[in-house]
Amino acid sequence: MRSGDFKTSYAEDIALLQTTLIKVCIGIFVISLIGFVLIADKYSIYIINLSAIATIGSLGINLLTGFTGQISVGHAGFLAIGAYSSAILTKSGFPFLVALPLAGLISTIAGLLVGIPSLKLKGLYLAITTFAFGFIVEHLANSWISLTNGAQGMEVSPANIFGINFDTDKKFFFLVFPLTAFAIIFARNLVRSKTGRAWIAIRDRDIAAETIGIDLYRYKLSSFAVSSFYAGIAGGLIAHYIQYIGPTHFELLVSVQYLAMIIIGGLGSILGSIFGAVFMTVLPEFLKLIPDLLRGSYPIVAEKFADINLILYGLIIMLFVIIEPKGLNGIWNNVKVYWRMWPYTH
Amino acid sequence: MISEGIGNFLQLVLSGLAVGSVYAIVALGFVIIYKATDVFNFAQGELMTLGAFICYFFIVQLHIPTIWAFLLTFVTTALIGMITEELFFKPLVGEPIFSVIMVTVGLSIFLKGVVGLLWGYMIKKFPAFVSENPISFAGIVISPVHLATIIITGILIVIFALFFKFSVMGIAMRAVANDQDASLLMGISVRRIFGLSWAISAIVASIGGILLSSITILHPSSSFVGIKVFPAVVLGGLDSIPGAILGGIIIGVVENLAGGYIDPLVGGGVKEITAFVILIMIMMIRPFGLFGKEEIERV
Amino acid sequence: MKVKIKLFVIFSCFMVVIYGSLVKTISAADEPGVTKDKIIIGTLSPLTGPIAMVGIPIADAVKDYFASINDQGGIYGRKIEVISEDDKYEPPQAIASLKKLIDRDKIFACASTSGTPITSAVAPTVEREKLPSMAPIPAYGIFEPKPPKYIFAYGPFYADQVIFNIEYILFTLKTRDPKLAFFYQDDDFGQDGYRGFKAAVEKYKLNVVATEKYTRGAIDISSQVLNIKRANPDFLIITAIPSHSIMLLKEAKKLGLTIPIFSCANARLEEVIKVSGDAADIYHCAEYTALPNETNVPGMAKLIRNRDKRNPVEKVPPKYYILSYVNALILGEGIKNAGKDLTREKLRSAIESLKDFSTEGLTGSISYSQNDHCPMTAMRVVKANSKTGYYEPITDWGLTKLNLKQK
Repeated sequence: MRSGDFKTSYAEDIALLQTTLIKVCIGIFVISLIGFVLIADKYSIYIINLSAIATIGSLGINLLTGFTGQISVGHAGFLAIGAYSSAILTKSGFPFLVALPLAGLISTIAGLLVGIPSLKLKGLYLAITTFAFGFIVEHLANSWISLTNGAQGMEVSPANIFGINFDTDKKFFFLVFPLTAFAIIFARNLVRSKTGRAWIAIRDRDIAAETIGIDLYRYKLSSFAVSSFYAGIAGGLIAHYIQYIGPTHFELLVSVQYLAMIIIGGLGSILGSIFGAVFMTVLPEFLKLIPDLLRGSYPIVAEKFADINLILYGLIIMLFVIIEPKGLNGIWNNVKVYWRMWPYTH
Repeated sequence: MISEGIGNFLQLVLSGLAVGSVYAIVALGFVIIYKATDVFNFAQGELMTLGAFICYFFIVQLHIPTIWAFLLTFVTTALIGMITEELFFKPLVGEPIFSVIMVTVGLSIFLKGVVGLLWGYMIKKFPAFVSENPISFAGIVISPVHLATIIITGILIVIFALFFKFSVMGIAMRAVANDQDASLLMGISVRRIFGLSWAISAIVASIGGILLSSITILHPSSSFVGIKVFPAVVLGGLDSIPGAILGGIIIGVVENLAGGYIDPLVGGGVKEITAFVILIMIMMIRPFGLFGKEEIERV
Repeated sequence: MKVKIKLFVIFSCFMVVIYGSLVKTISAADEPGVTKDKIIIGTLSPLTGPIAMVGIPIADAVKDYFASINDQGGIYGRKIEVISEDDKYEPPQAIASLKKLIDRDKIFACASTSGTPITSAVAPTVEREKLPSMAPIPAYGIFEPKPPKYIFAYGPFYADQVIFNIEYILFTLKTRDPKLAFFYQDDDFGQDGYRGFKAAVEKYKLNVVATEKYTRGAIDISSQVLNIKRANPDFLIITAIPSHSIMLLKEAKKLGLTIPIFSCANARLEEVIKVSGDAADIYHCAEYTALPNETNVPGMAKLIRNRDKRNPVEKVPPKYYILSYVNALILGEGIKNAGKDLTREKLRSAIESLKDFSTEGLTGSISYSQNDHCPMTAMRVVKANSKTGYYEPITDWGLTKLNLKQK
């Protein structure tokens, strides 16, 4: 039970991190993460970097779908726009520091365009519209050869800031991590602000929200805008990290993966976005380790493992959602409540 | 003999009808589940593929005569549909719709792995159940399997129209789709209806899978056709069963006509985006589709 | 207070576990993947998903070939261990799998960088890690204009295969002013074939009556085939994947289109004949490896023998098995030539120095150079025979007259 936890100033009340314990925990986490990255192998760092980028993307879609209730099944389209914009801009000579935010902005414009139908459409119909958007972007990436080099894909130069080339996994971590941290903090604050509250109101009962004076038009569009900006940045980061992009990197499957991240992580929760992004990135890798354990004793299983991997992957996703429909965030909250109420667990 | 121009047109329409029938069957299976349970089934394509492979198993690996193999396939897939519903979807009644959709996504991955594990990834030939020689009349050619597809789809339309209008089960399903609470109050076992709708949808999916594999090849990648479901159900109306079928057929025909007449003019590429152009047009003009009911939200 | 302590304890345990797993990852190795008695080779290919029918044989071929080498005592006393990873044909997944192979499994070299889009995506990693790798598919976009330093392949590009088919029509069949139609898949693979088609048309001043394309995943190509038929061509050249070659053959038979169809080597699968039946009798392919039914070829006989040791379900070695087997041969030869003191650099230059390497009849001879990591090797035109279910060569081995490489 929290006790002795009272605020004596307005600043304390609206602080992002409320208690000393949380501050200390986050501090330890950050320090150990940086320490880990300094000595770990490239594979682990790659996974961490991917998770970080995925976090930015999943924060974006969670803001749109989890907080504002606007279903988006075409999120990969925004990622693609961000990735290609950043790649093309850096190729045309723009420095990375300019290209990346510009790519985010271009993605934002796309987001606004896609957001316009959202004013009239809801639920499944909006989902289908966003899906069509994703499909159109993929098709354009494939056919607009003069711009995107078509199906062959484009090489992307590594991120370069003031002459430092972020071309190794370790260096890239130090680029991505502050960006991700900033993205998290910004989203967290946004959600606590007037805009965030308006979004949640729209999600819960948009007609009622309109009645109390929330401008649906403005807030739905802003939700699309912020969400696609995040996606654009994430896309740009992926492009400069993998140093190669092609239309197949942004197909429907990717949109579905991002949806999975926020559903498994927890809709409408910042922490859930992080959980979901990490979970969905790490799970396939974790499953890959299983055949290595089995290789000694059950070589045949290790051979056929690829299909079993898929089966396990699908099964884990299904069971996860069934056992805790509120996702990892729901489980986290349950754990927190359990600790807080212990020994009075009921 | 009809003139070449009309002959070409009819040829395109006929092929389009066949392809459209496949889309229609996929859309039908999808809409049945959606109407009864509000679930957006991402795994519809994989159910199709599973049904086709199970039938292949009965015919080729167990040497069961074709008709019996078909019936056995229907029974097996219906059972699989019901068990799936019982295990994975019943616990989710009342949970947010997103969670349910995610389970269908997980299910589609799971089924992909199962099919790959059991039958591998080499291209197989689905055993022909009709003659392989094309039939030609008045200068137009159609292959028997395409004709069978069209006919079977027509039969399905009639069966389902009758089922939903006149049979007790059908009316009960419509009631549940309309208003779950009222149905419960009227004594309809909503649970059983859910299971039934998954079973029926699985059977329809396996019919579609068998037909598609006969027209093209038997391979796990066939589940890809599931994407065409969206334009079809949007065109027809998300909660309309005749709409889904009609939507699929229209898209198949229009696609083929576009491929035949517009593609040569612009150097190709129009055929594959036709379905999505239709989708966008419908969304802008009449979002609830040809037969869908406009949802009036009550405050 | 108790709560705080509890949470602290859990947090610390978590940290300990992380550091613990670290200990395993910090290991020193002189040359990764090479010890006194073992060499570790990795393969990357789709082991699940629709492309698995290509990816699984690729991995199997490498395993079988090196198993046979191990049976003979290995290379300089070192046995070769092969680890295969699934890339699910998705680039980010592929990069993760490759990094796992490099960082966790410590592979010395890579015997397969999977299909073309995957190879492009993992190329930066391969180059950075200086990992000698073999690519199973000769892809124009990767090897031209300047090849990556560490990736090798062999074989004619799709463009060259298309040109070879056209030159067969012009110079062997000696057809005067043939009317050509072209059908291709709308992505980089099909577009490479189209590149060759356009080059041949321009060079030989040919008459093109129809050009049709389809997207990957399309379940119907009937309108395209109808358009082709209406244009009344003499020959149809295609660059399509096997499933759509099958659909094309079926549709052609139905519409009464009986002109010869010439495909690229990627669709020279026995399944195409099996599923299309007698519709396949008009089907030809440009092929640059030996055929599985050519058991009199010494290389093929050995390949079949090595494969049968594993008792596979499919008795006929699939096309991509043969392709990958040759890559394993090249890699094995490179390892041998690099000598007892084995390093990645030595392997790389050993492969690059291969000249007129013979694969005992499985392919034409292979020669690398600093600028050419994907040499065009000899091809033949083969024709499908629906009665035997196999392909039969109808020309001799040769290269194209029109050479698109600017060397």
